[in-house]
Amino acid sequence: MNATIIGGAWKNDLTRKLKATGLAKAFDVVSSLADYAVGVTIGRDGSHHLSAPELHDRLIINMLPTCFVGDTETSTFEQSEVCAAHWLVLTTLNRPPVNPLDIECGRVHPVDLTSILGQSSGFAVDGLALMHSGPNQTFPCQGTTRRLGRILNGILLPPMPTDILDCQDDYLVTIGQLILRNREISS
Amino acid sequence: MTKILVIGSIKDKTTEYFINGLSSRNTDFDYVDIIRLGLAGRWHFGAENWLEVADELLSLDTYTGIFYRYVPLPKRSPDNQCAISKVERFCEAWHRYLEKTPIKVSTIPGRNFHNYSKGLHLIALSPALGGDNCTVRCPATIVSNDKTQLLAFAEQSGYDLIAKGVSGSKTWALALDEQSFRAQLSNLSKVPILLQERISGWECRAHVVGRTIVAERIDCTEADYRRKKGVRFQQITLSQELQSACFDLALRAKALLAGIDFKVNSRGEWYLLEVNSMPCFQGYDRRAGGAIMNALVHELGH
Repeated sequence: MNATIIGGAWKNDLTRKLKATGLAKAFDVVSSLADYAVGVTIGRDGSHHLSAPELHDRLIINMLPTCFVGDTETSTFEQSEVCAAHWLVLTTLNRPPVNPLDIECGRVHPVDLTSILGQSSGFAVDGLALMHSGPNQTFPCQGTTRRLGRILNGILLPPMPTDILDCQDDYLVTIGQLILRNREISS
Repeated sequence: MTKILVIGSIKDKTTEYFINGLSSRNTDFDYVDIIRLGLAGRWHFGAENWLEVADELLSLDTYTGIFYRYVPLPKRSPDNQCAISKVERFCEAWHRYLEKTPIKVSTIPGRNFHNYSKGLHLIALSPALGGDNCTVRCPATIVSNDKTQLLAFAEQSGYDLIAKGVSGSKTWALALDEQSFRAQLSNLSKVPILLQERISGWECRAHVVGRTIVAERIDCTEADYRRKKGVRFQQITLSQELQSACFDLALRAKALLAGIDFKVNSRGEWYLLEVNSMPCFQGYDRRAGGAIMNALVHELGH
């Protein structure tokens, strides 16, 4: 299986650890999903169409950016990693949600985890992790990690230690494994 | 007996307006500053739910409704990092309490993840538009970083376009013609942007509060009326079909209080722009003679 890891200071570390699991063979690490040509068109009736040819049959692991930059009046056209999050949010639409579970990533990036880990519709994005954390544990990573930890705790994973900040590396790997396993099951 | 809890910041104009509105209506309420509570207060959410600020204990079960405005926290600095974290943790717990409480709440932040993305927002709300025989359409929209796709969309729209921020953050709409669009093309290599077909006509802001709708027609020749002078406002009554669509949209946005923006073209076709679940409603309410406030007080007071 091929995998793409997008964004975040942790991506190299995650790549190394996921490779070590042996579950994913090839990794393509990009700085942002904006490195791909991706489009979403919405018709007048609200129907939508995703166009992401380069992302076909790839496992996408997104380290959602927590830096909320750009996207203001003057930066509509500026490169902004935050915009990449929109691709991911939009691409999740192609997956029928199961047990919707909203998770905030960083300050402003909520994603539905179970819809991502859920069924494969066979288009565009095969999987998505939603974790982002900086190496220095600075804002807003702490909140993100805690939120994610709290939600995962008792739902997807065994109970976490009280302070998950000390072991989030391991949980990143676990998330990766979960996605990969899920992909195997659904395919 | 009506008693409303107001949580927010007096620095927020909408919160200030709401408090003044409660005072002028002699409505019983308590006000809690969210920053102060987060920093120096105590709280408990569970079998009993209470807040304590400055030695005053407020039992949440005694309120008929909660008016809540989430305010942006001060920027972090080395000096205030711990304090901000503390307030954030309170807000996290508070928002979860709001999701669970049977008490009516004006706004529950984060309840709709799709609010963060304008494109996703439109798609998520589209079932309320009514399908083929829709009462309301949404403007044809593209979110892309692909020049070919963007050019095709622009051409299809006759280069009569609006560019907006991709996210739910407040941005200003920008009108583009062929010349201005092509001038920006070189910036698009790795940048996703949102383009919409421009709907020429008047705008409508409809505030939904429970089962009440307060609607206003807005006439402005510019792409974004919010910063323009000489804009004309007129209270209007929506048709039954449009009212149903508004209720449905507010329901899908899970919002007790929603500000819904429409654009209406010269053929009388209605286009949904967005549903704001935390609207700054004071300007609209003043022009509506307090109708939005009245509806809010009624909803949160019963």
